[in-house]
Amino acid sequence: MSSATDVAFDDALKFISLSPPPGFLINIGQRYLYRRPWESHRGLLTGLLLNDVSLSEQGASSEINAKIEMDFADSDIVEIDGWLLSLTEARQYALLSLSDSQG
Amino acid sequence: MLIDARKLDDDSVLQGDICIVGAGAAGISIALDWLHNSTNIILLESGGFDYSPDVQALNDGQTTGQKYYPLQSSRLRQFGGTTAFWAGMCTQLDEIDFKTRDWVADSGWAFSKSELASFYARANEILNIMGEQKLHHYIDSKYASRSINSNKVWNKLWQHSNARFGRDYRQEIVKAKNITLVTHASVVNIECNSSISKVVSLETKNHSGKTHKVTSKKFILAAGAIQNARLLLASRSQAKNGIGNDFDLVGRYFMEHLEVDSSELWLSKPFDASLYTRQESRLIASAEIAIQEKIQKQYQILNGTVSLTPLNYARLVKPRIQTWRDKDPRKAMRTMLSDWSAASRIVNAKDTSPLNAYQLSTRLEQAPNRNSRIQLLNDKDSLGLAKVKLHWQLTELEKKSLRAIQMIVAEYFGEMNLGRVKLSPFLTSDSSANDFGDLSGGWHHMGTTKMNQDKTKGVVDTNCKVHGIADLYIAGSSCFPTSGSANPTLTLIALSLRLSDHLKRDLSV
Repeated sequence: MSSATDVAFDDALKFISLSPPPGFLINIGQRYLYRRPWESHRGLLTGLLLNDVSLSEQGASSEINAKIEMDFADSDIVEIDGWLLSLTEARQYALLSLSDSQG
Repeated sequence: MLIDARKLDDDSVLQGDICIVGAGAAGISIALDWLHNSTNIILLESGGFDYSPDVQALNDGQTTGQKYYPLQSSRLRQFGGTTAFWAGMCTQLDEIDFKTRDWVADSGWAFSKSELASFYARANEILNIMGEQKLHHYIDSKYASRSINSNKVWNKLWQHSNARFGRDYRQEIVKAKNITLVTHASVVNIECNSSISKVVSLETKNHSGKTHKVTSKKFILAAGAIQNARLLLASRSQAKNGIGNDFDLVGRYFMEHLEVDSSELWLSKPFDASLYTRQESRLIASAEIAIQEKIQKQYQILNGTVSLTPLNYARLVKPRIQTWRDKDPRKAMRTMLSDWSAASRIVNAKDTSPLNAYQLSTRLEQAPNRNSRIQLLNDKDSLGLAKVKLHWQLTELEKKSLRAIQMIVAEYFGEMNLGRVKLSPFLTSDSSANDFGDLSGGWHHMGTTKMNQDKTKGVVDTNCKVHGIADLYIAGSSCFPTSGSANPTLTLIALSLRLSDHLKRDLSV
């Protein structure tokens, strides 16, 4: 039987993999929304994520990555299950969790 | 000259110009500073040149509050003191450590760091370590591409001294014509004149049942932060609260360095962490991630640094507070090292790639706290001196600072897109304020006779003289008003050499 430490360890391994299993990120997203239930709307989250992102030739992905780095620079970080994440990436996972629950 | 007090006639009186109590890093450094001088130095050492269980047992005491090591095994009683088994980690205090910070009660030294600059240089020589300029050149040439530096964090450099004072300075001290090293001479009482304004003599005892006295022009207590306070408190035949304790300060403000596994760093990109892991053989220098002064001010936190250990190894190592439980320091050391060796064997035996993750361990300053203290017990040691109780008390500021430092480090690695940080469970937002996890100390005792020019706020003045006593001085980390996060040996030697210079001026040497 796995201990609590083993489970956390497995979670951590998932987190740093290049393609984190959606289940892990969805769980992070759900925990984020549990603390911020007022953001539990796909439209709202999408707007928050893309609000100041200009869809340049590089695409929204790199723009959001830059936004994540800027979050860390500006101390816009949130704690979820002990992880210290940027606000933007936490919202990405929250959106993922809503997409999953709504099919 | 060397005298074994067990072989002296009972009730002998030794007479010197300066009497130093304790032949550890502070006491020996001062004695070395008076080599080949006409001043007669008496250097008293409680033990001999080797470990002695009977002498070591004189350190026995109780602890309450935050879990701590057995007092008996937390310092060594022999010539050379605790340098006989120290890790040798040396670095200077930071500028901010000397400043008054409005978010840290009772902070601030009477002088700035620059006051200690020349004494740090002299301490480097005693510890056989490089000066700052040479150290930076060494690091730059070896680790140029690996440095962490930003507007939030910086590289604090450490050197690893191989100095063992007992081994390195025994012959020099023993052969010196003006120095008399007296072994097996444990001070049990400080006798003052009737107005308690001057020390008349020190009374020493040993396990041969003999009692001796030492008279001198100047007396320096250099016996460590617990023992310095203990001697002042226990000398209460003339002053009911002890010598130098008119304002109930002796023994208070005990400080340690908090050392604890505080978070994990999971990397998403390659990052050469070898400068920070202290895993190279014959290590000369290393670095820890430090927090910029303006960020400490912004977050209103204590000073602290962070080191990295490969997580696959760190997960197998028990916290030191769990392995260092024996009263015999030799056994405690063996247990701790065995634990480390077992972890290494497991890691080396596994045919798997190391994880791309590190344990982050924080070394944190303790805030000055008058309720964190040394007090006397009714129980006495084998020489009749009252034993002590250490009540180690931490506050919410330490907890807040530990958590904030992880956030700041997480911000750095996130901003660099290198990885993410996960807090240890005792630091998550839903942990209780007094949960410090498996926090260990650094075996660094400080603050029990703190320095302040105001006699109502400090035991010693800025020259390390006990307030109200004309000829009694204290050397060592017990004088530190704040601890910083740097291991104390380098600074306590620098401060002791500053005291030595003061005495030279005072005695017109």
